[in-house]
Amino acid sequence: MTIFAANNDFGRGAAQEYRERFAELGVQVVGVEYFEQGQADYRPTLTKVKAQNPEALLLIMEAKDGAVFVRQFHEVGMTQRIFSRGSLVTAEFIEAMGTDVAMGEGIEEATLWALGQDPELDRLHQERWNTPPRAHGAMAYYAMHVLAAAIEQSGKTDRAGIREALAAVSVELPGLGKIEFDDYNQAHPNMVITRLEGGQVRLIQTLPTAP
Amino acid sequence: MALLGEQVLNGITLGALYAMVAVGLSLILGVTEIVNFAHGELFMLGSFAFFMVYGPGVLPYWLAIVLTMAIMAAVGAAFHAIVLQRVMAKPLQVQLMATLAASIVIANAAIQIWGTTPRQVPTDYSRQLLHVFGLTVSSQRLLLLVGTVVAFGVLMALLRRTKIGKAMRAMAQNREACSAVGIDPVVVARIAMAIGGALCGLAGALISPVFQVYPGMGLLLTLKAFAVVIAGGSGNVAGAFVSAFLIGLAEAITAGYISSDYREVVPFAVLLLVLTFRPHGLFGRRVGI
Repeated sequence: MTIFAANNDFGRGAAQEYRERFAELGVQVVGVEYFEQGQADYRPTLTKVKAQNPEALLLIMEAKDGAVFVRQFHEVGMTQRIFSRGSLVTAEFIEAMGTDVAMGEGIEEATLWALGQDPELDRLHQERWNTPPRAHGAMAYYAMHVLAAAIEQSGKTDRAGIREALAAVSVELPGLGKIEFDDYNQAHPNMVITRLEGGQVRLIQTLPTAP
Repeated sequence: MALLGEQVLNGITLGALYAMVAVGLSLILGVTEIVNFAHGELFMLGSFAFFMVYGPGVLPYWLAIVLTMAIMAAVGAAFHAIVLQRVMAKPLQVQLMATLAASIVIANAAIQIWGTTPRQVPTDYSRQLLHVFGLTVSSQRLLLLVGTVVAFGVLMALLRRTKIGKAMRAMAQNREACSAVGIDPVVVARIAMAIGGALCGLAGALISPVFQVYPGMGLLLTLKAFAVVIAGGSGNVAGAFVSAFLIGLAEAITAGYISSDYREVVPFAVLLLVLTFRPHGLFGRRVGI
């Protein structure tokens, strides 16, 4: 496995986490390559990785960079399986790939939210904005739902009241499951495995993350 | 050996990418003596102009390139009239702030007009892969390389053999003396800016098909282009051209044989080394384009 990660806190943190987990699971990490967001040319690094011939790549990458990367991945003649943790199996990526979307066929992603998890949101967003919902936008939408539920359940609207209410809130959200915050103020929504098939997002499996 | 060949090819095509942006930047710096922080935004506008012209699929690629260059030549001339001309006689700080402010205005206007979603403008050449001596490269990349070399050749011929080119070189050497012998610095600078704009249009038309078009696209490339221009010798067009390829090759070899961690460090490390040992740049002269 070779990991490609954005050269920022998200990318470096995730790459380190995956590297440790892969080692525990006996997956050999051939290399970790970092890139700058907005980078135009991945060919030098791809050429090096092609020579190392890993079985698969893990891309910790947003859709905008992913579209450039995947085109150049094909340009250098690579055929490895691609896994991603970012926003590659999303409406953004499909839109960014345009007529070349088939190049992303088979990419698998582990994510917290995917198209198709909440068909009602997909429909409403499409009707209102004429585009499918974006992953980060959808998460912000659910965050507002959690906030609204906290206010509703506590009946308080002042700052301290909302903070207390969020600690005790319990709300069921489509796809994400039950949202409750632990002692570290961390929620544990479901994760979902998705795959790009025929230019569409396909949901493969939903995985609970609650301890 | 094949790997080295492929990395050299990568370095040359990467160098062409930098050269395409840096040559225009260097020309403008040489003639106007203004560091144009909005050059990346002009490149972005060139890419969007190409997207608007070629995207609907009506015009053939070659005609779209010519039309994009014409549009951007007009944009370049307008940019000179609106921004650069007004600060030409002002202190350096005013010039820097003016071009920086212009870059912020243009970038945000682009966000308002086109949004932040990246656009794709693939051509038949970007999908066509060529296999030469075991190396794989898209036709669009080779076109970028050839286009860069041809554009540089035409620009150098214009600078050395035409009256307006000689006037630009004279401006770079001594603006006051030019005025004394009847050369209008405003007209010459505007034509240089129009040429710089046309080069941004050409860069947009050649680079966008292998990249993507969005308002922030010029930022990283222009940072590198600044390193290229200074390393080559400020305002030295030929120096910028050569140093673009040197930096492209250095980046590719670093990413291929050392680590991608150091790839972004290389252009600026090269710049620091050059400034330390050759303060006027690798091919630096005190004056001239």
